[in-house]
Parts: sequence; structure tokens; C-alpha cells
Amino acid sequence: MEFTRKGTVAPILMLLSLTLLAGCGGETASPTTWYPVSSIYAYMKAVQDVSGNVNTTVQLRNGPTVDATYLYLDGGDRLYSSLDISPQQYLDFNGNLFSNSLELSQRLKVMSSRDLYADYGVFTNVIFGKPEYFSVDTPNTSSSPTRVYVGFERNGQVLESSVDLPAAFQIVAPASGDSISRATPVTLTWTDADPATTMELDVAGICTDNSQYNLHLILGTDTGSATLNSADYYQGNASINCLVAFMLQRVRTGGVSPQFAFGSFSKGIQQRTVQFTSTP
Amino acid sequence: MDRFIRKLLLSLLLLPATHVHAGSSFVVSPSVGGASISNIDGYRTSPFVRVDGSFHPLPQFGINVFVAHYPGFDSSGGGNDVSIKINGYGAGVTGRWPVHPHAQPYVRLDYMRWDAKATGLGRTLAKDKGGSAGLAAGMQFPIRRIFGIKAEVSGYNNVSGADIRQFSLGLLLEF
Repeated sequence: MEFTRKGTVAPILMLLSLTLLAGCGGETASPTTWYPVSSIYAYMKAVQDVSGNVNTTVQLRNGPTVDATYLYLDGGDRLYSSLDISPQQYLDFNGNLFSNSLELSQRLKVMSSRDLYADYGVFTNVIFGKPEYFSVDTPNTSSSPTRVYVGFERNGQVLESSVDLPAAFQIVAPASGDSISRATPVTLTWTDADPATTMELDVAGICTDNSQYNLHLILGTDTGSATLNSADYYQGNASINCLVAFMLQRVRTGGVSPQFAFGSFSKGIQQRTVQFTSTP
Repeated sequence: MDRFIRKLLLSLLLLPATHVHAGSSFVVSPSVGGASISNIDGYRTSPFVRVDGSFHPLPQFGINVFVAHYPGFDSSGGGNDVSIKINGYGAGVTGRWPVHPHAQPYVRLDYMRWDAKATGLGRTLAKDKGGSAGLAAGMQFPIRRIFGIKAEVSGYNNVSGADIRQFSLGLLLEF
């Protein structure tokens, strides 16, 4: 009997201590139903990469600062994404139930949740306890530009936000797989410059000593090229090689439903990636 | 078991189909089957049930009424699951010839009033109603005095945008 009691208590104590530890160090998220829409900050990003697929992510927070609480959908709240046709149009139809329902089934995405996720090309990063919502859509190639819609549904009402993806481009230099010395600046060039857009650059590196880093640079108005000193893109040990990924992004800002908190935004992004070896 | 089946088949063949009436008759026919969409890819076959009732002033000719229920044409192939349920009723005319004691081919022309409801994403997405003409061809197999079975293929075009093709097996009760 005593043995049984010991065996029962030990796991409970362990669970209790794990719970306390989680409470000390873990992130917490709150349900969206705690907030009116006007208090929810929505950050939406639609990224089209070289595959042509559009990865849409949405983060909902209770404030504009980085330490704001992330919100998870609750109580029937839902996020949809779609390309070129708004979620509301997919949801509101009469007649031709078979074809319209199939369009909805295949083209309207109910966004899924995951922990905050970043793919830096040479490594990925996950931040647990901070939910974000994502979907992957394949555009109809005949429509240009592709318009990405996100719908937030609450109590049967769908609040829509949208952004047009900027024009596609290709990275000309450096070439993938190059070895580039940090002794001289590296010139990044790309095709089809569009002065109406802004260029941003995510840089990630993983080095021979297993250290890794990532940076975010705003390159400014799209001119088709940028020259970077090693200090701009390198944070590893000076004497070792690193595998570096440049994720070049052409960014266009879009509209967010005005019912969300002021400061919410959406971005449409074309992203191309090149990886090279950075040598001393 | 084999003996039982042999006896059953022999009985079916030898029993006179005495329910081939010289005059008028009533037929009640419940049936079950599978229905598919021929003009739109992306839906699974739906089962359906149907009950026909007909009055035959002549053995070769009948006036028909029916009710039908399709519990759900479900979407297939990923995406959000949607399902379309259909209830229908209608009237038509049936011709059968020759009125053979053991096998009677027939055709039916009818008109179905239908109500369709699409559900998905945890809600009713939309409803639609309308009417569609249908054509059926089948074979009746009289077995006993009032009892028989039938097999049938049929189709309805433009049921809320879908062309439905279906196959069914049913019972016949002819009075």
C-alpha cells in the first residue's frame, strides 16, 4: 500500500514542478475572445517564393510592441486566406452549389496554427508559446498581380484585409554556391527593379564552429542592387567559414481591415534566396 | 447452402409470374443505389434512397410519383470538407415493354423538384432549390404474385449545377 502511494505521489510532484517551471520561463498566449476586434493588432505577411506558392502568415497580438501577448483563435473566431477572390465571396454564394462549394473547398483556406516559425534557409527557428496562423496557396498563373486576402471571422462577420504581391524578380549575383571573401564588399544584384517597392534582406549564417546568427536589413527603395560590407551581413567568428543565406525580399504594404487596432499592417513579399560560403 | 441457393433459383425460374395483369395495377417500389456527379470532378458517390409509386392503367404504361433522398455528396481530394444533401420529389410516366413474365424492360421520364443544402466549415453554406428532368432505363424481374425486383440506371441534369448519374436496385410490389 505504501509502495503504491509513493508511486502515485512521485509523478504528481514531477508534473507540479514541470508546471511551475513552465510558468516561469514559458510564453503565454491569450484567446482572441478576450478582446474586441478594435484591440487586436493583426500582422499579416504573404510571401511568394521561387516555387510560386504563397505562404501567408498572420500574428494576432494584444499590443503593438514586441513583448505584447500573442493571441490564439477561440470561440469560433477563424482566419481564412484566399488568392484573388475574397473569402467573403467564397462564403456567400447562391445556386450552383456543386461548383461553388467545390471552389470554396479547394480555394478558401482555413488558416492553421503553429508556434512562431521562421525558416532562414540554413536553419529554422521556432518560438514556442507564440501562436501564429499560416496557409499555403497556389496562385492562378493567369492573374497578375496576385492579390492575397485574409479574412478574420467573428460572429459570422468576416473582416477582410488584402495585399497585392509585388512583381517577381531573380537574384543575379552572387551565384548560389559561391565562395565569397569577407575582405571585400559583396554586391547583391537582382532583376526587374521596381522603385515603387522597398527591398529588405534577411541574412542567416551557420558557421563551422556550429554558431548561427540572423539579421534583418532594410535596403531601401528598390534600385536593383545593393553593396554590403561584411559587417552588414556577418556576425560569426572572423577566422572561420560560414554558410550564409541571403533572403532578399521585395516588399509592398497592403491594407488591413480598419476594424483592427491602429498599427496593424499587411505586407506582400516576393522572396528569393541565395546561399554562399563566406570565407575570411 | 448450395442446395438452398439452387432451390431458390429454381423457384424463381419456375414460379409463374402471375402478377402480370391484364388490367390496371398499382406498383410500389423502394430502391437504394449510388449516385455520382458526371460533370464536376471532386465529389464522392452518394448513396440514395427512393420510393416510387405508380398507377398502370395498362400493363405497358404507368403514371409515377416518387420521393428521393441523397444524404450527401462529399467533396474529395483535400481542402475543406463540404457536403451537399438533396431531397427530391416528382412525377413522371413509365413505359414497359414487352410485359414478359420474367423480365420487363422499362423506361421512365420524370421531373424532380429538389432542395439542395451545402454544408461545410461547420455551417450551412448555401441552399438551392429547383427542378430537373430525369430519364431512367431499367429492368423489372417479377418473382412471385405481387413481388419482384428491379435494376435501373438513371440521370438528372443540372441539379444545382450537377449532372447526376445513378444506379439502383429495388423491390417491386404490384397490386
